Amino acid sequence: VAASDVLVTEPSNRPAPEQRVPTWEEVARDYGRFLYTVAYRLTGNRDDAQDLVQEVLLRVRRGLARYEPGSMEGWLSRITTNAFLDDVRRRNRRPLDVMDELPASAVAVAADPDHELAKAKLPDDVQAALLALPDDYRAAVVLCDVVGLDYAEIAEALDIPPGTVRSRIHRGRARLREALS
Amino acid sequence: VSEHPSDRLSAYVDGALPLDEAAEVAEHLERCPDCRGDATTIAELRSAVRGLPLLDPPLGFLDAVLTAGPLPHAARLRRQRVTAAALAAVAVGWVLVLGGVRLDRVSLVRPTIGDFASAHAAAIPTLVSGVGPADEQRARGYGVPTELAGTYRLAGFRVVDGRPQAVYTNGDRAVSVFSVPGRLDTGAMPDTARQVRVNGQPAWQVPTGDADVVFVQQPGAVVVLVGAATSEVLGDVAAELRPEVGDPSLLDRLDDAARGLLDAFALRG
Repeated sequence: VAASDVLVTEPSNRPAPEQRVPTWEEVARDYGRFLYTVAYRLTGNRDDAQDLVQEVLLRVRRGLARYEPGSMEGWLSRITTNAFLDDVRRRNRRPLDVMDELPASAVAVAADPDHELAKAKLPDDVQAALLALPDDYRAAVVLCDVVGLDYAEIAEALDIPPGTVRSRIHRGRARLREALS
Repeated sequence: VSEHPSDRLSAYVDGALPLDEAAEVAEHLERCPDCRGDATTIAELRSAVRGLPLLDPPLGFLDAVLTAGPLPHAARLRRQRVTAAALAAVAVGWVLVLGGVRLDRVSLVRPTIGDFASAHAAAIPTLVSGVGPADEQRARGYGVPTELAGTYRLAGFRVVDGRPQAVYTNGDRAVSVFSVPGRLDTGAMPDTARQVRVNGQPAWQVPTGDADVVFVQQPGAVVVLVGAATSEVLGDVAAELRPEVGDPSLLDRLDDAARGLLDAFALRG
């Protein structure tokens, strides 16, 4: 495998920026599927995903006045991950960043000469592996790979430094690999 | 070989490194098969997550939110508690409905497969908007459960020729459930019918074009299920129930739940 083969470029599914501020009903109608997908990837079950979508739409209704037309999906996914992490914090009442204290070597990706991984993984397996991630890792991976935000957007959405985005995504993927192997 | 780029690999694969760092990593990858393998693995993982499909919300969910507005947090919690309580009663109720409660009804129930299949097919388009307030009120009047086996939700309800029809969906599959007082006219079963057992009761499964129709015979009543992959639906329902059957106190509670359900379907003498 040449190093250049490793670079993956995929088309973005994100629509062109909106020019007008939509109503919350329009957001629910036009982005309901997107919101539910992101919510399901974060929570891993229907009931929690529906509750999360409702919480997001409540926040959308309150926050639309301050929305500046731009990437609606970026804005929505920022609200969704924050609503999700708020809920996690409320339930757990413990700091989330404790995992960042682990040495990188503890979660390093080991060489895999077969490269068999993830070739034929079913969506359910991938979803289960996502769910096994620490919540803050999952939030970063979902923003990166489900929503398609870049690292700077993720740093802004989660209000964390760019270096933390980098390590959460890397360690998140290392754990996905363990879970899927 | 220079120092391994370790946690810069994901950022490299994502194209998130500054150009000079990306050049360093690329140079390292040319010389280091281990890191090259890691980078390939990362790219595969990334593709696996990116390849996950968009999901459809459960039928009627968005319409319900659009109609009633998003629920504030406390209301959602209340809803979840109600759902959990209802689920327990309803799921166990079905054991007895499908498993048999003695009733003295003798009228013959003809296996009019086409009628049941088309009643199911006719109900599917109405599910797009979910169960409306008026239907839900009527369903409540009949005591029809709003959830089945935890994952199937009531998505439609109507009464055709005096027979209540409840349609449930788990988002992927839809199933109609009819309950008809009487004894199944097994002599009128078509040749395509396959005899099966559901919770120990004799049942007949008849494949049609798009759906299976299953008649479950029990003393005094016939439960009819219609849906694509009905056996999987039954499996889902049965799997939910199995662990709890041995608990006598639970069986008492089940009996109550079943009575309510049978009353609702006007099956008791």
